[in-house]
Amino acid sequence: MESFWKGAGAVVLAVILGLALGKQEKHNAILLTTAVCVMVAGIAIAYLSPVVDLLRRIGDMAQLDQQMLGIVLKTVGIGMIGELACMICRDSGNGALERTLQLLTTGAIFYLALPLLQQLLDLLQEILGGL
Amino acid sequence: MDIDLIFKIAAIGIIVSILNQVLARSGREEQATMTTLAGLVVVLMMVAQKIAELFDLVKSLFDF
Repeated sequence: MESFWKGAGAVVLAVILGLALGKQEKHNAILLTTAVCVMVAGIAIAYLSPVVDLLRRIGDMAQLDQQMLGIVLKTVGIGMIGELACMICRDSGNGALERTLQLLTTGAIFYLALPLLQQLLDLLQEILGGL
Repeated sequence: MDIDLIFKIAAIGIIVSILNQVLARSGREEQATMTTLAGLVVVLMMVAQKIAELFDLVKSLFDF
């Protein structure tokens, strides 16, 4: 849990240093925010690593298709990175970039979920065809 | 967790800000702009390295 306290401290420190940089060095303040966001996200992902391992083990126990579980995990990864990038865009006042990135994230997630949708359609066809 | 990076970015920002003020007051606007740009590029390279590390971490964890 040591890294949690370090992360929380780093965020507070970045806020204070960002204020110290002021309006004159706004681009450096944004880069400082980005660096801290990336570092704290790295800590969060390191904490998520055992959770993902547990999910994989549960998937094995339930005899789930590993490819399907992989799609779900990839979707989570894309969602996390997309949300992080959107937050940085929002902070720097780039609304258009934020919306575009949201669109890109949504598109990528839909693209990844296509095999799942295909399987769902096949299942529905099988059920309705059997009636 | 690399706390030093936060201090480095803040220090570069403060130094660039002071240099910018000094150069602008002495009538060297072009040099002030170039100093700001150089500081920005240095910090951007440091941050880009961290972003690449985060992407690698996400790729390895979520099986990309």
